[in-house]
Amino acid sequence: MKTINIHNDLKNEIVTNFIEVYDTDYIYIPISDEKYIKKTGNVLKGELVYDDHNNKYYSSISGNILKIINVKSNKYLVIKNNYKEESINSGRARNLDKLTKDKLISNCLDLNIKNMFLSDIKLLYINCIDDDPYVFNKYMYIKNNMKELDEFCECIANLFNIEKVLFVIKNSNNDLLDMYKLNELENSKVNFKLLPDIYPIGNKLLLHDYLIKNNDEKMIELDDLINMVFSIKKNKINTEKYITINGNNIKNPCVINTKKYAFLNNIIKDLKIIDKKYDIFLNSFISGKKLNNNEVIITDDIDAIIINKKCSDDELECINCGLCVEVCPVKINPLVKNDKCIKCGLCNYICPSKIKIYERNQLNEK
Amino acid sequence: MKNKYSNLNIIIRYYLVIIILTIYATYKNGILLYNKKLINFVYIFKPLLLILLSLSISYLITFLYKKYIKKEKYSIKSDYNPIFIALIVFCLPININIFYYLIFIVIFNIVKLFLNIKINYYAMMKLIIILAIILLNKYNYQNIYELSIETNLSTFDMFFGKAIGGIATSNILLLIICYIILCTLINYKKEIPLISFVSYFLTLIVFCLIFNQNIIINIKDMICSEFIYAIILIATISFYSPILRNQRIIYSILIGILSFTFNKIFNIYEGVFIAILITSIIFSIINYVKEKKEKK
Repeated sequence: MKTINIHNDLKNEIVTNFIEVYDTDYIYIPISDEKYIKKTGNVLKGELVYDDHNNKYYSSISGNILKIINVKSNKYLVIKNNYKEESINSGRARNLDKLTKDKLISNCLDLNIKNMFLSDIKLLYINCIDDDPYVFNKYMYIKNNMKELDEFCECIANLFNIEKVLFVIKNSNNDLLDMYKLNELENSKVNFKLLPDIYPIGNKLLLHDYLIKNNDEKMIELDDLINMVFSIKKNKINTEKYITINGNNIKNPCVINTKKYAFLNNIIKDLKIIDKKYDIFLNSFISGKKLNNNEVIITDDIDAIIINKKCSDDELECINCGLCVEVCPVKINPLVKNDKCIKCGLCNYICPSKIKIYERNQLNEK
Repeated sequence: MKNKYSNLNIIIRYYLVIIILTIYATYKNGILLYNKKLINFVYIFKPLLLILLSLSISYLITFLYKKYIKKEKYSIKSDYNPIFIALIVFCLPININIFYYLIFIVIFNIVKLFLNIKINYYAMMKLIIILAIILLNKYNYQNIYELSIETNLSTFDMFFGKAIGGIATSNILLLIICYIILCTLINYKKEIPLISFVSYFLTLIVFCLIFNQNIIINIKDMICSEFIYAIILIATISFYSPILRNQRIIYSILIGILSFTFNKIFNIYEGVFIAILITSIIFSIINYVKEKKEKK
């Protein structure tokens, strides 16, 4: 397989700016059916407002539920912020020293994580690799909260007799090693594991195949660990979200921490755009969706906004070069629809004729 | 997003190769002959003229077809046809009549627009032109100087392009430079020339051992032939070579074996093109059957 150093190609640098944006006047909770709305009138921060059994949405602010609006084919419940930050949770953090196995398992919100802790674990990997060269959410979260995560991981390692808990990061993020010298403590069970900076190594499935060799080795996502920290240690719902705003058409790329369900347009209005002609990509410039406008609500699915200089969309004729086959990390022929496709978008990126192979296959699926 | 894997990048490398070969062709079939007072000054530029004519006619025909018949936007960045036609010019005899040549180029360009086949069109084009030259009784690869003298070349001379051959196919050193230039392209199927060469060489040795033939003479034949030119520039044309790596290996091995066989059966200038044509036919049949099976 041909490996491509996308960081070198794009010449993008690690984003170091971190901004907290909490002053959102309204939040917009996506709903599919009005009958599942759990609350009317006043609402507290962290209060359940919508539950249709598939999705549970908690308010990220305290305020008043105003109305339901329709944007294109989607419905949103509008909540007006009263800026009082009144929370439904007591906010009293749990003492990790008193935590037991059963308590931890019963407080896990995710069923897969619950089942994982019921089995034997010798080595636990935490996937902290952002799955796009332009995204730095996980990197920034670790940078800001490593001590808290380290403390929590030490606790679960002791509770479940886990020999090692390894935070899997990319080589290019090795400044985290200097920042948190975890291995200075000889008996520490928590450490970092560095992996080569090759896209799409952060992909859940690929990384699992790459790392996991035995049954007693497990891997969880950083987001799962964060949710555990919130539900078990902090005893509250996570109502905030890290979003990377990056791209080659932005003067000041940054990672922002903002309220979930805020309107993205309000957050990015102050960005310094270099060229007036640009494309906006959602989550990933390689495999992400190109947006026609920036009217986006920040939900759990949104990780990044990539603003790149506009380039020609003209697809040329396929020259049968076979590059898409050579770079495919799951070794399939991207020109033929295949269920094994992990939708990394490398075939799109490498194609000299700029054929949107990945998008074409997605259309075929529909 | 500008990236280094663009079509334009590929076209630029191929043009670099064309420029190098044109300079060599002008030197071998022009300047050298002019210095020996065998041709007049204008005749020096015949190789350059042939290349410029093939490029301009090919671009013009495709442009007119796209604009007036298909009514589509024409992009020079995706038009590889003129480049490959120019590459075929380099392996034709220098004695070719320019008028006949122009007719061939126009016909082949027009046919190419309407014929959507997956067999190596350019190898086929070269063979048809050669067949026509034979029918016109003008088949001769020697230039005026080579016709006038008896030569006894060393392997070293042959390596530096003193052997008889197409307009610019005989200089092995330049072909290696062209190969290195093309290897810098990420999409160039670089294993095809290497495997074909090894396969040809092994076939040659087996043949010499079985039939008790002189290995050196056969190696000289290989150097003089158009085999090296064709495996570097014609067999690797991405439209007609396999995508999958395993298929590419078999494709290259077949080209090596068949080239040696046809070089022995026919002659050292056309054998490799027959081999490329037959191999591409075999692979297009395999892929057609495979596609049909997948559809079922």
